[in-house]
Amino acid sequence: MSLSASQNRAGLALIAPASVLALLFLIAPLSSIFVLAFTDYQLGDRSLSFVGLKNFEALADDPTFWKSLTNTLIYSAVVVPGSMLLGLVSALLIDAGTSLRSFYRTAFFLPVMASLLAMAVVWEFMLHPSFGIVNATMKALGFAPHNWLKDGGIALYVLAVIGIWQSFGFNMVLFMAGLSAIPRDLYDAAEMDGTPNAWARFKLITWPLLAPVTVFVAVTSVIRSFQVFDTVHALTQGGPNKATEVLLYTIYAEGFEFFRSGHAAAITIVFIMLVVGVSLLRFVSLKKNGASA
Amino acid sequence: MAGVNIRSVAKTFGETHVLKGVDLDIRDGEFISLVGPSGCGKSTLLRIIAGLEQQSSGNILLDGTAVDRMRPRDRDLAMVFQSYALYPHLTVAENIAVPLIMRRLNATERSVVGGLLPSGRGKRKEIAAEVERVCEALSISMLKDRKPAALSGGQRQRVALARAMVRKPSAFLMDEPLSNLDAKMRVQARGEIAALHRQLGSTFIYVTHDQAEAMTMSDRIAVMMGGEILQIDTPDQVYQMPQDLRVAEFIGSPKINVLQAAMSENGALAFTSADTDSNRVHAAFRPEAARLAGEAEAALGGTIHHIENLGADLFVQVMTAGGDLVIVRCDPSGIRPAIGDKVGIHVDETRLHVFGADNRRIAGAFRLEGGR
Amino acid sequence: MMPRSFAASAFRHAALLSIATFALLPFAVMVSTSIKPANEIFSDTVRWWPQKLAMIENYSEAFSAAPLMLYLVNGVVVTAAIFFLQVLVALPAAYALAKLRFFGRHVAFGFVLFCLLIPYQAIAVPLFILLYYVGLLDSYSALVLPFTISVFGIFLMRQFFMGVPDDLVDAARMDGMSELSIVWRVMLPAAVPALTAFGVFSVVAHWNDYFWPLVAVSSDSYFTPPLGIMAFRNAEAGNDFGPLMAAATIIVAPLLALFLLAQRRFIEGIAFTGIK
Ligand SMILES: Nc1ncnc2c1ncn2[C@@H]1O[C@H](COP(=O)(O)OP(=O)(O)OP(=O)(O)O)[C@@H](O)[C@H]1O
Ligand SMILES: [Mg+2]
Repeated sequence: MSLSASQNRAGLALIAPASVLALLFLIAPLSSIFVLAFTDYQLGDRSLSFVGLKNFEALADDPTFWKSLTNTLIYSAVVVPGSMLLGLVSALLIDAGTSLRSFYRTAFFLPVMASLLAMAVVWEFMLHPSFGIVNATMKALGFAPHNWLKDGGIALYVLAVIGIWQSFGFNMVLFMAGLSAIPRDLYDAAEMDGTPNAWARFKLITWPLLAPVTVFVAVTSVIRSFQVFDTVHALTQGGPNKATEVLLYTIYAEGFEFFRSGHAAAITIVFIMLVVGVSLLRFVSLKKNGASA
Repeated sequence: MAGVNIRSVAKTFGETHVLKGVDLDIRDGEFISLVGPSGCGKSTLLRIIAGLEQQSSGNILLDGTAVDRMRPRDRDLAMVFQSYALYPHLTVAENIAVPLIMRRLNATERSVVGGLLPSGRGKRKEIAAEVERVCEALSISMLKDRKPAALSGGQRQRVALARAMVRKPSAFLMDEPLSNLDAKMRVQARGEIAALHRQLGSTFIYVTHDQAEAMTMSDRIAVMMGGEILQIDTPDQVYQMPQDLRVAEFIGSPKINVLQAAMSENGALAFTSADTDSNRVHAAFRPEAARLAGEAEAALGGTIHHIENLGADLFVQVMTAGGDLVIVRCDPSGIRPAIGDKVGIHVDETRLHVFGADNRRIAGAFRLEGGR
Repeated sequence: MMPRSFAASAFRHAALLSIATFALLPFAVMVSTSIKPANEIFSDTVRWWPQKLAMIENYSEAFSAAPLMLYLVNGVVVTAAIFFLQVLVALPAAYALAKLRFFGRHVAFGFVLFCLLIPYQAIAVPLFILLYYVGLLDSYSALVLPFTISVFGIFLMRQFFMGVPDDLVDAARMDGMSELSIVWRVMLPAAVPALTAFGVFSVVAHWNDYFWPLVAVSSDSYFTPPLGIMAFRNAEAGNDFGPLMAAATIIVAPLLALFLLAQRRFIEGIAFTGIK
């Protein structure tokens, strides 16, 4: 047997288990999403019929879906800048000195590690209207207390704050990795070149050289924020009055509480398009950077 | 233009004493090299002069005024880094413009909208013209729109030089600017930097661990070791009158020959490694201060161990009876010795250096007496 | 750089300490409440250390009210099984993609890249239907099987294997090893750093995962820690905060303890898998 033929056989054999499992647990489910979305299938049905675009038409007329989509985007618009900014500031501040570095790094990373579900329960207690620490603090500072999770006007933003709390440490670690790749000499050179202050050095060196990391962090943060589910399910169940209804929660409710699989599949397609679209944006921006470098 | 005075500058990093009280007076317009082995504190001293590092004690004076509390920006010095430290995302022209932009434009003029302000636009035009002039002087005009990643090592080195020059600083600090170039480029660049110094007439402080660079370019050389300056002198003096055994050993290639000797009161020296009552010293002579002689005629003798033929010179390594390897330079056009020959080594007594047990030079005239 | 002035350093610490307060506050509240008696929890004054320690009461209440140990064991079993199977499947595939030329390798790799983009929640509905029809819902298999294929694992290990010198592989072939034994005897030992990083990533993700267990299992003997804490909260009607916080502490503690012990590894692992 020739060398290349034997490599061919070995290669196919080695990817065989992965291929079978991928077929079963990735390709088949993914394709069936695109089939289900055009059917009236409900879990347990013995048969299904194709209904064309009816699921999507229903979606277009469904205020819950629109609410859910808008809420997801609002949540994302708060969490992404918030967790990126806090992550970047943390990374810069930690990097600017030598003392207590690993203490801060560890402290900021703890929320990333802790089970969000368990911590959501803790947040619920902290936000408790009558004996939560948040309202106690508000009262002590002379502000009016709130019923944080039951007030439709603020509940989504409260969840966003929890989202920032949970994810900024992750962004910080990525930013710190990016910062450590910037040669120290450049800052010395900038100092000699007369940069008047740290802000000028940040603009001259840190920000442009961090750009690829920043784009990566942005894309990751957006995708993660689209996947918000745990806090919604544990704390608000999408309420009050759909104020915190988000895409993944709607998919969950449609697919696993009402078992309207076709409807859930249609929303899933919207969800997939959002996620894939953001990822593709990253490739475009990489291409652009690559071309000009 | 400025002279630089370094007054008992010391630096410690935690427990390690990197600089142990360095004194150095550099005249205005002088080209001075700091040489020494790796880790002796050259870069640290240079960075303290620049203001990038704070000394633990002592003072730095520029043009007679103490600048110890002054930031690098305000010291009016320029630096060329070993890694060149070019901003990778800026073009060559933008890199060179940075020192001017940072000093001449205010915060609003530097910002995005700055280009729209009439004052900002005028200044930017001026800056562009100055960048152009420097680029022409260093013949890198055709590289102006490239990014550093698209340049060769030699080109990057010139850009770094241009960025330092553009501002007309009162002194240039250079930290091994040629160490990332190949041997050929290095020789060429040496000449160019020396020419630049003559043309600009500014003070140059040049750090290197390559003694050939220091010897060929400088007005004076400061030899550093272990955080101290051992000798400051012209290249000729450092080579011919080393004041310290470590200086003698560091400068010169091949290395100076150092042998143990016993010195009697009248200045008579005898090569010996045996313990005697008389004064024990280090006797040193360079390969060109010795010649091969008949076995019986000389104070020193041995067997030829190896011969290095460099074309212009022949360096003969002789293993003495005492087990020392002595290098003697010979004229390749003369009689060729052969490996294994037994030879004598005649040392020119006027070019003999004697150092005491404390490594310091002992002045005086010496006479060699029959050896072993 | 110049030594920072006292003011700059003070500012740095002040800013970082306030961020640290934000990051750590929930943990402090959790632990402090878990050792308080009910009357102090409901009192108006904020106190971090209770006047009367109720630690034993709260923690034993937590353990007796719900099978917390079982949840933890489930968590360990499920995450370990997932990681073990992921490595078993992904390593040979990653090696083949990195070092072997075979028909369809570009297609296979392109497929890996494509699947990287799809969050698993997007295919949860059909996965659920699949497991429903084969009758595997509400079992350990339901928790483990869908994650045995990790395209991320394949991608990460493939990138790492690309950096392993071809000479090493050829030398192993000269020594008479089969391709499969090269995977386990040559590549696996070389890949320990990447594998650690992937392990951190996988264990953290699956220990903390809530969506899939919520969908896939319903009897509490299969509950993983996040499901367990939710069940506990719902059962206790949410007002017995002392034991609830004790339960949360117990659920969060194992992974955090592991993290604190090997925080360097964890953070580097996350950065490594993040930057890829
Ligand atoms: N920030 C620092 N912290 C601790 N030690 C340092 C620091 N910077 C330099 N040193 C130590 O100080 C000594 C002198 O360093 P320096 O960089 O000045 O040497 P050098 O003479 O420039 O050597 P080279 O020729 O290798 O560049 C070295 O032993 C180095 O390890
Ligand atoms: Mg140095």
